[in-house]
Amino acid sequence: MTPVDQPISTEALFQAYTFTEYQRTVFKCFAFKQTGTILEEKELYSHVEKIADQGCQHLVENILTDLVFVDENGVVSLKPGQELEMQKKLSTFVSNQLINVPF
Amino acid sequence: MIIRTLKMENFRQFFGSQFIEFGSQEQNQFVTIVHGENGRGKTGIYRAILFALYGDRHLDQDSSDSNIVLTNIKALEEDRKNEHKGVQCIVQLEFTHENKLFTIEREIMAYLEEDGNIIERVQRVQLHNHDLQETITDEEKVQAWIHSILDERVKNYFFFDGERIERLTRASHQQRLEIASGIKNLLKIDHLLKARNVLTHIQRNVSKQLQKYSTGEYKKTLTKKMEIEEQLEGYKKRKLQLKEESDSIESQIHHIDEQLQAFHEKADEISKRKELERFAEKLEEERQFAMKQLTQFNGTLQLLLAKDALFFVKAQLDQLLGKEEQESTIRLELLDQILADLTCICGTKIEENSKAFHHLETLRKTVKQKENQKDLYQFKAELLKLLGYLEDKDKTLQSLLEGVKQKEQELEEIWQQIDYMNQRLKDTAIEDLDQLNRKREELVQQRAKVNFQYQDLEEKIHQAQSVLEQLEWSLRDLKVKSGVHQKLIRKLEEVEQSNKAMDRMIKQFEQDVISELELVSTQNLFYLLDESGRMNIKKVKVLDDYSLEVINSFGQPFLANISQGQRQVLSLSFITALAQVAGGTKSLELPLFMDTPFGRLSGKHQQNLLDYIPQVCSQWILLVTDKEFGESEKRRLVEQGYVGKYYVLESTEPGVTQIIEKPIK
Repeated sequence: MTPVDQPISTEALFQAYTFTEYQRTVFKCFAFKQTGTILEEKELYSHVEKIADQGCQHLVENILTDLVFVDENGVVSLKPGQELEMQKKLSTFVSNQLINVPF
Repeated sequence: MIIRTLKMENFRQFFGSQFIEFGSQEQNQFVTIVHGENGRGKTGIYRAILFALYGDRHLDQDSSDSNIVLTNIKALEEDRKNEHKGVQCIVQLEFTHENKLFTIEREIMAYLEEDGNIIERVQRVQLHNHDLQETITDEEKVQAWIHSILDERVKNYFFFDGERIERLTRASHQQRLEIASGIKNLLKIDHLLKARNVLTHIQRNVSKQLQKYSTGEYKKTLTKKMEIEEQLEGYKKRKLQLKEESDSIESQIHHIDEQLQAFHEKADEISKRKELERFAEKLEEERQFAMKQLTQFNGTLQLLLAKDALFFVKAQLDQLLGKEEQESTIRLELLDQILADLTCICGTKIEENSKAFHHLETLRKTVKQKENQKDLYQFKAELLKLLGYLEDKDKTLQSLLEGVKQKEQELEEIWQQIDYMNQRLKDTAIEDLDQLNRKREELVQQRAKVNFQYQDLEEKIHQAQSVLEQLEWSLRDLKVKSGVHQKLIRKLEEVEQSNKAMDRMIKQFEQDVISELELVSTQNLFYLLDESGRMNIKKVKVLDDYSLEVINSFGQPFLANISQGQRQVLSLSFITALAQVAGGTKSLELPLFMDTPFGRLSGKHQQNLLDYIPQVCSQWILLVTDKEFGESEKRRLVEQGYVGKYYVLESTEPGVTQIIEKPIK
């Protein structure tokens, strides 16, 4: 059993196999849009990781600004008690994206 | 006491030196009317008289935290701008008492500091007897002297603010005790009480002497008697204390009941607020449910964001693969074999370079190309599947979001309503209600305990009195046998008899006075009340503590049901009765000073007062506004010939009032 004063796990909690079939289709779609080819799995995840990173940054800087704080090491955390508000903001953001077609 | 003049110097609104001469009994013109609008200084005159007589710097109606400045503000401002030596604020009252002329004067020295703070210091008090040419300057002696004319405890019966006069019928227990002592003083009952105390003291001394000089059984019985007497005295004191406690508890319960009544009046609003709070709770649950549904949509939410990209890539694939193309059902190996064998699957021979051979070769090329694009087809199928799944999901998201927003809006509206009700009910916190109920319960238990102790004490007093009676009989027998100290024994007997006679006399006198007060108060009340009031009220009852009750036609207590105006009339009936009874055969030589007395009275009550008061008092000073005392009321008094002086208070500049005498007719 893990002692209470130690982190539960330092390993990444999300792994490739945790993604659904639909998510994997989306990843392939993003990669294909940019490269024009269907990437092998390893390349694919490396590619979408970069996109996800940029997406997160965009969200933190533009959409969720009021709900997060960034510590001195640059680690972004959600302010306590703002979980539902974040849910609403994300949903509203997605909804607006669907209405405001960018092309 | 009859007030002749009032001189004020820089007092309240009265800048400089100003003077009022009051109507006198000469030619029977003892009514003085001072007419002034609100804020002109009527209450200032009332303050001046109570300040001169009793040194009062605050009135009963002033709130405890109010900072009342007696010195005129204009005078203070001018002094600050000029020499800044301070302002003398003086009130001088000239009055006669038992045909002797007196002047009482009080002076305040006041400073207005640079920071706007005002400092007032009483500088001097002086009572001058013009006949004897004597002047008293000691505050305590002056107080004692004024007290001997009009007991401070009942001053509010003679100098009163009409707006608050009905409070005399709502006095607290402590106030009632003080008022009762004041009334006893006014009616000279306290002289008798003092005489009885002296007799009790003498009786105790004689008993002690006898105890000292007697012997044997007589001494024993006497000692026992004295012990019982002392015990009885203790019981009586304790009984009085318990009565006070019981009255105080009763008054607290009454106060709580009044507060609870206020809660009751707001009960509808409180229950509506509860309903709203319950509705808000239900809405909150619904909002949480809507939020949960939105959270459960998260899996789809991220996919929706890729919808544009999915369509874009699908279009690319369509272009690459061709829209109408179907995936081939013919395998490449089969075509290769047919072309190598030059035999169709049906057995027909195919000639090389024939038309059929070329068709087959074209088909083989196409199938080979398709096999090379197999991954793309698979990818496109995945895309189509996902796009199918996402169809209308954007509408689902919008509907979920709308659901959450709607619940939030409804909740906000409900909370606004609750906030509004909270504002209205902010003094009626429900916690206070619980606290009040708990406090009431405690008090009721306490009352039961005190009442039990009181009854127990009454029983003990009864027993002690029986024992005392037996001991007195024994002492009488023993006295015959002892034959000693006959003189002392006789002395004790006589003092005891005198004491008992005095007790009977006081009780009788007090009963007579109360009966007379009841009778005269009832007569006055009947004269002053209008017809409907007379129908409801049968009699005024003066209780043992000199508080008032009215009895209705069915013989039931009715005070709680009468209006404020009727309470005011009741108080006035009692005050005039007090003046009549204390005065004996003639009117009591005291002024009736009334500040805005008619504000709450109906026309008929006021008319009756105007006709009646001059008949029962020696001096009437009326401070009135034009709303309560117009031309017709003035004419009514003037025509009766009682009005001696008429003044109007006119404002000359902000905070400064001039007293102007006007002709009566």
